[in-house]
Amino acid sequence: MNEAISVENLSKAYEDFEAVKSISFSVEKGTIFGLLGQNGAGKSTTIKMLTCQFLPTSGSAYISGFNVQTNAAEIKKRIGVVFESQNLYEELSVYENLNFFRCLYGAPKEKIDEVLQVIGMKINKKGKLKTFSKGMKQKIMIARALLSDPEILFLDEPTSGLDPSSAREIRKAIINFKEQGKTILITTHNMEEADFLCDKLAIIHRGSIIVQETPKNLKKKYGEDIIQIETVTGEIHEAPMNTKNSIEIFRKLSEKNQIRFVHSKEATMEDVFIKLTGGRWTDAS
Amino acid sequence: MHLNIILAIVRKDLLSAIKSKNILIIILTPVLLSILSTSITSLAVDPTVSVAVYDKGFNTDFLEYLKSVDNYNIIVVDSAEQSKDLFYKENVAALMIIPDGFSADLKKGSRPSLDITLNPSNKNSITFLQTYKDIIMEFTKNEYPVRISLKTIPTSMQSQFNIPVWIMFTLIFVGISVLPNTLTTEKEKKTLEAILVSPASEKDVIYGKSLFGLALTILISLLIISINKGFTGNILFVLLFIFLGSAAFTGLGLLISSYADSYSSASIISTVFMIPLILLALLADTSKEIWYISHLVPSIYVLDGIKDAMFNNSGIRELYPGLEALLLFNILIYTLTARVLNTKKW
Repeated sequence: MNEAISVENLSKAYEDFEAVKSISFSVEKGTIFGLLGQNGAGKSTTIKMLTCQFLPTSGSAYISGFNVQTNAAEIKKRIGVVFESQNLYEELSVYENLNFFRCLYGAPKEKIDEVLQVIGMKINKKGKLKTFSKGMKQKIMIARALLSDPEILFLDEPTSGLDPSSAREIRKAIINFKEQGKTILITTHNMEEADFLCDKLAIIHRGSIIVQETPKNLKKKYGEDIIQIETVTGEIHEAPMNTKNSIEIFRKLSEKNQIRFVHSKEATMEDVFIKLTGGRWTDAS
Repeated sequence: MHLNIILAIVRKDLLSAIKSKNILIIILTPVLLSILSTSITSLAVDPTVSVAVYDKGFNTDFLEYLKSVDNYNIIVVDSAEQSKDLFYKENVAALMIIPDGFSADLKKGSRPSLDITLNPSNKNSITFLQTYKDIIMEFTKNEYPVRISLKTIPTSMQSQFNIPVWIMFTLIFVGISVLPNTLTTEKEKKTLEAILVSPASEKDVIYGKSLFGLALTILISLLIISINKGFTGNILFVLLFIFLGSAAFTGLGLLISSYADSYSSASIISTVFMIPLILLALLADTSKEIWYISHLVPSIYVLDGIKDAMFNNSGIRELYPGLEALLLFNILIYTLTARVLNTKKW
């Protein structure tokens, strides 16, 4: 079996609305799978069902071959979760925080130093957590998720609200985890991040998965590369690449010897997302 | 159930309780109250009863006799006006106006009048009330039919009498204030989610938190006992009442936690429960009606049980009704809590 996560027609309904509507996907071992969607699209609810925090209303999901509805105990031993909110004990030190969770997982004491080393943190372990920056706390959350030496990591918006430098360090760490053979399911509403990190992406919109593909194929199928021509007078002309329209514009301007620069712009995940969801993208991060 | 996980939760909560100002204040309230009470008791030990006396005439022998009485400080005044002045300014326990010829009338066997005004704001006015008749009887050489040896208990013992009250406070504070506080904070800050995605189950969290409540109660109770000059009575029964009381209030705390979504709502609900639990136990003896109502809450059984086990040398037969009531209350509250927790997801 090469699937670390397998989801079939999974749904979650509350009293007044359906948060997740019959979604299906699978994640291969050692890959990064992204759930891309706006706030409230159903990403976090999906993660909560897969990490046994919620029971699904219908459908099935298997983590490392174990059913989320019947084998929660086995699943919990094999997963690490980084939450969207920074849920650490602020009044305790880094060491006390990690030591508590180490005890919950039954990991040896040495594991604390090991996970801090993995995420590249050289800090005062006795320092109170509330004195740390948001980026540092996020790293400690990742360190906490690694204490159980998990096969699968669930990362819920891991770089949300972080400064660019901290976000880059976190992305680097995620790629390292993949190289170590871990399977990663990441939710994000950051398009560039999804494009950069994920081997496969599912776009989730209003509780349903509307498409799932590799980022490259998504852009190829749903995005358009653009040609951008800047004239000597400073005007900018844009048209989809390799279309009649772009060829015509280029021909006319070159005849008049008006072209100063020609740029090509690759399709972005944002273009794909807007095209598929028909919505405006509002990226908070 | 995972013992290692439960113990890890207890250790973490004890550490958090020490490091969190909010929780520390709640925990230390009974301890601070007991220290305050001990200090006040030790300061208040002055047995001297000050009495202002105005002799209207010819009562020198009675006045001399009054002056010779132990623990009586007689302040002789020259006029009724001056005695009133002393009454208010010097804070005397009583003002005694002796009529002309009072002493002679007493010796003749007639029943002369004595005008006494009591100052209830003076702490020794009760001592005066308890002793002045005996003093007059002794002066007239009339013997009281019984020979009484009256002593005051030492201050150290007086503070011991308050131990059951402080322990009851601790049980209530920890059970229905600290416990909901830690649980709702975990919910509010979403640290509970992090615990529940680990191998820890909801049951482990409930057992861990309950054990934390019990451990904290026992630690604070021992601290209160040591502050209040030691322990007396049957320690095993006292611990049994602490255990059952702690379990009962912990159950109530868990019930509050399952309904409250935030720290502030938990605090409001806790206060609503705490006030009647404390007041009914403390005021149980003030009227028959309150006595009956107070026996519907567990705090009265904890208070009376610890008192009896400590000071009355009561055995299992005397303590059994209280233990049984607490046990029944525990069964009731945990059945209710289990039902609520089964239907309400954290």
